[in-house]
Amino acid sequence: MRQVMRRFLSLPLLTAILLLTLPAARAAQVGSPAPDFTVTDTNGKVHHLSEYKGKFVVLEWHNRECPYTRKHYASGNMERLQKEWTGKGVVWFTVISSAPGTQGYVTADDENAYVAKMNASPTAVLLDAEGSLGHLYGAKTTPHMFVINPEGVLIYNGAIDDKPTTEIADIPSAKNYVQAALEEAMAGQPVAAPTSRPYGCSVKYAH
Amino acid sequence: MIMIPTNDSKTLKEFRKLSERKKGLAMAIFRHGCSRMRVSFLLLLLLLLFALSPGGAWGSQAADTHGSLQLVSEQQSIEPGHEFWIGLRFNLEKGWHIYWVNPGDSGEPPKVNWDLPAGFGAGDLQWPAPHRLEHPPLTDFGYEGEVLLLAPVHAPSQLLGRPPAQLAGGGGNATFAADVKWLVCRDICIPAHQRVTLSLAIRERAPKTDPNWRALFERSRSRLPQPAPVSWKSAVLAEGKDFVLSIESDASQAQATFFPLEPLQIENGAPQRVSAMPRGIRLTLEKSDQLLKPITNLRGVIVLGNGRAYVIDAPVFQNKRRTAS
Repeated sequence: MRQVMRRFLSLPLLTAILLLTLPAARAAQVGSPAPDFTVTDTNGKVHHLSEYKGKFVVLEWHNRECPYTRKHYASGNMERLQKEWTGKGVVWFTVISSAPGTQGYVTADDENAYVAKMNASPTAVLLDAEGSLGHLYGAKTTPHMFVINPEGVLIYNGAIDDKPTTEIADIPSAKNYVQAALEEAMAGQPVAAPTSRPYGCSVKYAH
Repeated sequence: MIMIPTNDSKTLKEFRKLSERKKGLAMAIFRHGCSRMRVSFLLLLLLLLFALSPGGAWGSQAADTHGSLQLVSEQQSIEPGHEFWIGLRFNLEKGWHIYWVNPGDSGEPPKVNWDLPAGFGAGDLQWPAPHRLEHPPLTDFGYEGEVLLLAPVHAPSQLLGRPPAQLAGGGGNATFAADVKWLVCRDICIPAHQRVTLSLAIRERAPKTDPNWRALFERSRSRLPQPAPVSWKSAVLAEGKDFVLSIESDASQAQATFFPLEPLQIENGAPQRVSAMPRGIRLTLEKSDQLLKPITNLRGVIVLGNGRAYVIDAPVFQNKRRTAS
């Protein structure tokens, strides 16, 4: 009996040790399963990534006071993407990892008012003030975009587009990587640009 | 503490600046714990400031871009047919930084458009070796304090005989201008744009070095990465999650920092493990999370303990035995 117990215990223990020795920064890697998470949205609803198997999921790191984020909201670019892709069944999570007291930190009510005002249409806005979702995915900037396919595999990690500026005028001529990744993956093709250097303001994590 | 912006209105940039100014004021009010009356007085003052500004052309650049920018020359005059150095001198407020040619995790390097008199030609901007700037979660490569980005300029041999109209600035002077766009960051970033000019006399004799800038030019040039000596041999072994860069040189080196020239090859923020070799040095660099395919070459700048910087272009070999899938 003791023998059985020991064997029974050793497997989870080993797994735990293995998981602990993996550098955290490599958790979200394109081509590998996207790490599961449990996060509460601005309406108090709890979301687990695993619930959305079978659907494409987009993660958009957000800070409304960041000029790079503002570029994509003031122009309507982000809202247009959200509307188009949620209309096609994509689950779109806007994620706010700003710690309390830092730029972009918001309360749930405040954020809901903002979403309504901007006519934005994410599936939900996830509140990650303690930064655990941000660190899990290695989100560095706002915006920083991730795309997960219906099998739960990360297929895109990077910038929203290829014009790393705060100028709205650059949007029409920019190549939108998220748009391209979703179009290609939905057409059954490999994503041509699966990574890019994200650009924007640093995510305002708690230190 | 009111920040005063300069250039073109109606842009997002401007909008951002306005809101930052408001925030600055709000913070000042908050800090001083003023009475309501004083708050309204300050607001009135702010409104007045808005009202008095002529078409968005505000004063002092310095307060707005958290530092100053100047176009400077190493020498005081121009000798026809000779090459000389000019530079963009940034003098940044404490805590603020600008970026190297590869900015690292975020940011963008300054961009310059030269506007030179006819016949003059400027070479590529030369970037002194950068510093690692750790602003978690970002690790950037750039500069703080005073920094000079240099450019060699070649003066045409026919200068003095030309009619003055051909020389911008007229007479015996030549005027150089640069339109510079840059990003200045702390925990937040501010896009900046400025046109800077410099006028130099043309003299048919060897020029004198400008004593104001002599030390700055010398110091900055000594930090420009040099081609690695031909006797050096460098190679990279791709091992699992790391690139192991070995540089065989003439002497043992104990200290070095590697700055990649290409983005998304190494994890910018990861500590670099350095070990001295009898002849040379070895650095273990973590691969970038976002690197999905093997690379054939690792290009970058290595800064040794003595401050000297060299350009490295090392072929990458895959260690099949130890490479994890």
